[in-house]
Amino acid sequence: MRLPFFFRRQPLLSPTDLLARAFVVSLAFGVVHLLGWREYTSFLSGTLASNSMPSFYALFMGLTYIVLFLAFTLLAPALFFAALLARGLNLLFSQSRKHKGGAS
Amino acid sequence: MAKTIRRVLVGLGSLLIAAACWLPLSHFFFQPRMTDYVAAHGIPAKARQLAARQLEIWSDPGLKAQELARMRSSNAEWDFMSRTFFVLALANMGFRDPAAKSRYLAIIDTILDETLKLEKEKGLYHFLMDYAKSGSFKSSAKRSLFQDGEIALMLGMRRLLEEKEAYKPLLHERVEQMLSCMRESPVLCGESYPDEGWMFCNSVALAAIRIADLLDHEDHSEFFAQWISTAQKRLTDPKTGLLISSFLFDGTHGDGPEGSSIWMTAHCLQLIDPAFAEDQYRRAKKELAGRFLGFGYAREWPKSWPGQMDVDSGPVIPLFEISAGSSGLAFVAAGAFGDREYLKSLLTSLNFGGFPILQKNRLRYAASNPVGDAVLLYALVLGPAWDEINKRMEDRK
Repeated sequence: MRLPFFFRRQPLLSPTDLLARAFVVSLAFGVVHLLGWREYTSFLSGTLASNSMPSFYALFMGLTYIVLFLAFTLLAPALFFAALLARGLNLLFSQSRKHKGGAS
Repeated sequence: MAKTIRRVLVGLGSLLIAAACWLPLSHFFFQPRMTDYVAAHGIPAKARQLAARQLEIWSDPGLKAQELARMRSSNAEWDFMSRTFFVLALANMGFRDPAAKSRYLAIIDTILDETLKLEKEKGLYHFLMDYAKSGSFKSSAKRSLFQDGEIALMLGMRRLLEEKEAYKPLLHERVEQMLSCMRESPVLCGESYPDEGWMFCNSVALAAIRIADLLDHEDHSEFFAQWISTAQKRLTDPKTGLLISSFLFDGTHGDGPEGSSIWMTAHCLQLIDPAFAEDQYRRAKKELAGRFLGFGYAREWPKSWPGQMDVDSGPVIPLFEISAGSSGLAFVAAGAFGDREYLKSLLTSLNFGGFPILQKNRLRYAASNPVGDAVLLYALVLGPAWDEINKRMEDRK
């Protein structure tokens, strides 16, 4: 069984690679969000999310959520638009090459 | 090989261009619709949602115990201050929504009675941090102005919304105690902790005395004028012109100006000397307010006064020096001084990094705690109580 393209190794910084990275970031954020790790960001106000959980785990979950949230909101859209842009540029290059080939 | 190099260059270039376009635009997705947060009359929708969560805490004993314990494990003061800011918010909501006034009054009374009971039963240190036990107060009354000031302000706001005879002597007694402690100090400032005065607490006390004056037909204008003059001469940072945040009983400077103190101080001083309060707000904004890619924030310390991260500043994000404590109280000042633009940029940051959770029309911020949410609620509904005080003062003249 073949894995979907976003889980397969793509040529580095190719449009599909950029798109796959955006997808993986979004997926990872979706998972921690559904797991309810947003609660653990309370360490930002110096408050524990739960008195019953060891602070180390709460801190780990809160930090992970924040890193993935930043990646989802700031990095993933940039990766997505970069994929579109790179795809457009590649098409432009290949067309101009064809054009040059045809002219010669 | 040339193909690989071209692919990497195109990919990298595209990513840089996309990031350069996306990052400055990203704040638009978190910008608030201001009518949800701010209203000249009535209670804005988001404030209603925040209030619903606070009311849930105060009506569910299990949840209340859990939330207060969560805060107390970090700082006992937050337990106390969450009460103060919620009462301040409720009083303003009572002016904004007279139909719900009796409901708000009942909650205010519950909070006040429980707070007074805890103070009586558990003593001076229940709402103070542990280091309060390590020294002794210099003033003869040996009381904390932190507690007296905020309790007096709660009592005053309750009575302002609707008179309650039982609270009259309680407010009068507090005011007398506060004035006695403040007058003992050469800088007319009482201690919050042993030999440690805070501008935040003294300005809260002044606001409470002003309200008591109005309610009980007394006049401490002379004391207010002396206090302002002394603070300008002896408790002001010469570099920024901002009031410092802490000092010893004799007026020796402790910490310099701090965001977690000056924003609330400026708001309280609106009742004492509006022009001076406005000047402090403008200076604080110049020194502490920041904006990056459309996201507003506040620093804890001016650039000329580097401080250390502590329980008041909250966690500080390096590079920009963004302080959770200062940014939270900046909402209050921005709301109080009608600085809509700054408030909007702060709300944008809150929607981004506050991690709002809306459940059953009750709003809270995961990155915050009940005291932070209560401060925010107060920032969104403040105005009517201060307006009422000013109006009645004018009428009295």
